[in-house]
Amino acid sequence: MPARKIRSLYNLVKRGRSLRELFFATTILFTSILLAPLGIGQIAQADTQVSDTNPKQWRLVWNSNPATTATLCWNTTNAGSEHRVFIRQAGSTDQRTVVAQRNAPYTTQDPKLFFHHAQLKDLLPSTKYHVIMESDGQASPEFYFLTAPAEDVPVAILFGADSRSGQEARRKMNRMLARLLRESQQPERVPILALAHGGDFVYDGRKLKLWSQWMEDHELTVSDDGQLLPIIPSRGNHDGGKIFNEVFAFPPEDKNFYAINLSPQVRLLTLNTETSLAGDQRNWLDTDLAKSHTKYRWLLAQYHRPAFPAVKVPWLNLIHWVPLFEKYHLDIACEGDGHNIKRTPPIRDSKFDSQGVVYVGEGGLGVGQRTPKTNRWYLNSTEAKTGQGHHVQLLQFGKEQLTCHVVLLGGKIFDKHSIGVRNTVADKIPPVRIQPAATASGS
Amino acid sequence: MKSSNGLETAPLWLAILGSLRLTVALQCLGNWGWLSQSGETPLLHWIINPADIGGLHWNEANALILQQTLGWLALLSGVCVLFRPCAAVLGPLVLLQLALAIAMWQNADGFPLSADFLPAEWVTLFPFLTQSARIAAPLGLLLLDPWRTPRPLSEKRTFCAMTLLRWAIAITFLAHGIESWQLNPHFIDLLIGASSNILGVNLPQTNAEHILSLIGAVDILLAILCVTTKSRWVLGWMALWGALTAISRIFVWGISFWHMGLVRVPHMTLPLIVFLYLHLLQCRQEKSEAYITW
Repeated sequence: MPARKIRSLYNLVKRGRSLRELFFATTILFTSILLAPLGIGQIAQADTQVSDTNPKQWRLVWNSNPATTATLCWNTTNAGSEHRVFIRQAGSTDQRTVVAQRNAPYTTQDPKLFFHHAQLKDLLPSTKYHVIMESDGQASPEFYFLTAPAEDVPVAILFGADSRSGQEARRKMNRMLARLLRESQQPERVPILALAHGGDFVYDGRKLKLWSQWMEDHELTVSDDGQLLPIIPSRGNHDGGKIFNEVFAFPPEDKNFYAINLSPQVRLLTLNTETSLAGDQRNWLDTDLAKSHTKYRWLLAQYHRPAFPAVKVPWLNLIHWVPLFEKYHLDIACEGDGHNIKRTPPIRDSKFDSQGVVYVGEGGLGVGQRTPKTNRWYLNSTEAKTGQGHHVQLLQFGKEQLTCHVVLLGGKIFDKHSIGVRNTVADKIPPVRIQPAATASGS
Repeated sequence: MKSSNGLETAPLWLAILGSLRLTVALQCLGNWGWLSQSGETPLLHWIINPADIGGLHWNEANALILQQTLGWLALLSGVCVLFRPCAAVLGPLVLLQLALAIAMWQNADGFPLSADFLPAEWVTLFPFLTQSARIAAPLGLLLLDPWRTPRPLSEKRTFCAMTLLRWAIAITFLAHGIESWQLNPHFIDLLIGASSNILGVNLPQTNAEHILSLIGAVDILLAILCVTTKSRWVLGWMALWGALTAISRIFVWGISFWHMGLVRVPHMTLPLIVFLYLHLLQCRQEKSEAYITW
């Protein structure tokens, strides 16, 4: 067998044509090898360098006072050495530079990715800022964002949760969020300030590959004219691990419970169902609500695992947090995790009470939807509303009413209801404040 | 093949087998409560999750029917196990426990272990460690007390079964020890809740974290001692701690979480069973009756 092979090879070489082909092939191969480190290789390397520090996967995070502060985050595939943001107030030519305060590789390196956090401080309320991110001379497109108001004006936010699977739907939802953001900036509309995300961004928070895809998709929330939609993140049960804090610019050991003012009269508390519920977080919640409930017209909370679920079993926040919500007259609690649409009637002391807390949400930013269990006591009422479908909650905070729309993918309104102002701000005696729930369909 | 030298006629051996049967029966009852009554399990989520994230992508209604059926079959199996622990019943029970662990792994459920030095894919296998005692209990019974298998059982078989149980509880304690060491927030809340509900003391989180670190260290130490020594003190401590942690779920979270306590029965009874086995061997050694295998 080897002898036959050698003979056929000899015959091949013996033929003039084959020999010529062999000669040309060998010449091309050697030339390529010789040129690789010189010309061709250099071109390839230059291409790689261009993309390596090119800012991408941008996100604007609100986790402290959004009237004056915002954190702009982006990623690069190479570490780079100089990372900064050029920021300019709309209508002004003065541009200032903010150097990114934190630059590091993500905890896991699959894919290889570096994060950059630039906290933009001393901003003016209700102001439009243009920003450009730059890493080693490579600049992002120009974007803009609006800071939260310092005056008592109507504002709105979007609340959604569970974008951990169903990537196609997630992208469609993100495009819809961008459209909603754009439309809300028109005159006479209540402007959307931010997206409060109730957790379960990705399927397994320890895998950077999934986060990278989520961040890529999050770019779609930027409106056509370049407006960034700030995100107020809450940790879900699938978001475990260190990457969450790296993506959203929290300190490495942060427990992710915090409060921000969306306006001087709207306070949003973001809670974390994935850390101790009964310990420091409960004490913090007690202290904050005790101070806030007489100071703010609207008090709301967002967190992941539901206390009054439409599908799953109640989480332990039912024991640890709900008594505080009721004690301090929280207006609305936004929940995720259940993968459906839910609104409960106002609940207090485990029964319907017009002075109670309304629980909405359950998550539909991409994840497949489940069937709500409508036989549960808090859903088996004409004042409750449940359903299925990818959706986001649009919460508008007026001077007299808090209005909540459930907007389905495609723009249809699945549910609309309003809550009147509680009187704890004035005399601590809450009046009958729940208005009859109105349900509407249509665009 | 050597026989187990009349071990099986000893009253203590019968107590061991009785305990193991009861363990699996209670575990089945807990699984029935979890699968059929509570309704939300990692298994259900795995079955209905889309395929792109490792799920089986079943219709939710069908998945619920399957889960309910499995729950009732588990209950029926529990009754069978009390009287006739045969392979036809215990084999599927092992598979059910294994399926729950696989579901946790596929769903990325359970405690998010922090181990950056390991590949993320390895870290996600952690539920197999935490669930090892629950998987080993029916498997141990299958090896030690199979219906219609000629008695006495071989010495090798008994040895294998007891080694399996010993390693399973060691791995479970090690895994829970690591969770405690890494301050699993559910454990913190269990400590705070237990302190408040049972002792009437408001335990600050910092103190709970210190206690939990200590508990974690003790758990890891117990796991190591369990497989490196034949100390009955170690096993006795493990049995006691397993009982406390299982019962704490019910005391702190309420009676509606009874199934969470019952599925953890092996954490208490498996150390007890190995303890009894060691005691039996010790007694026989003292009487010089038999060849000591362990």
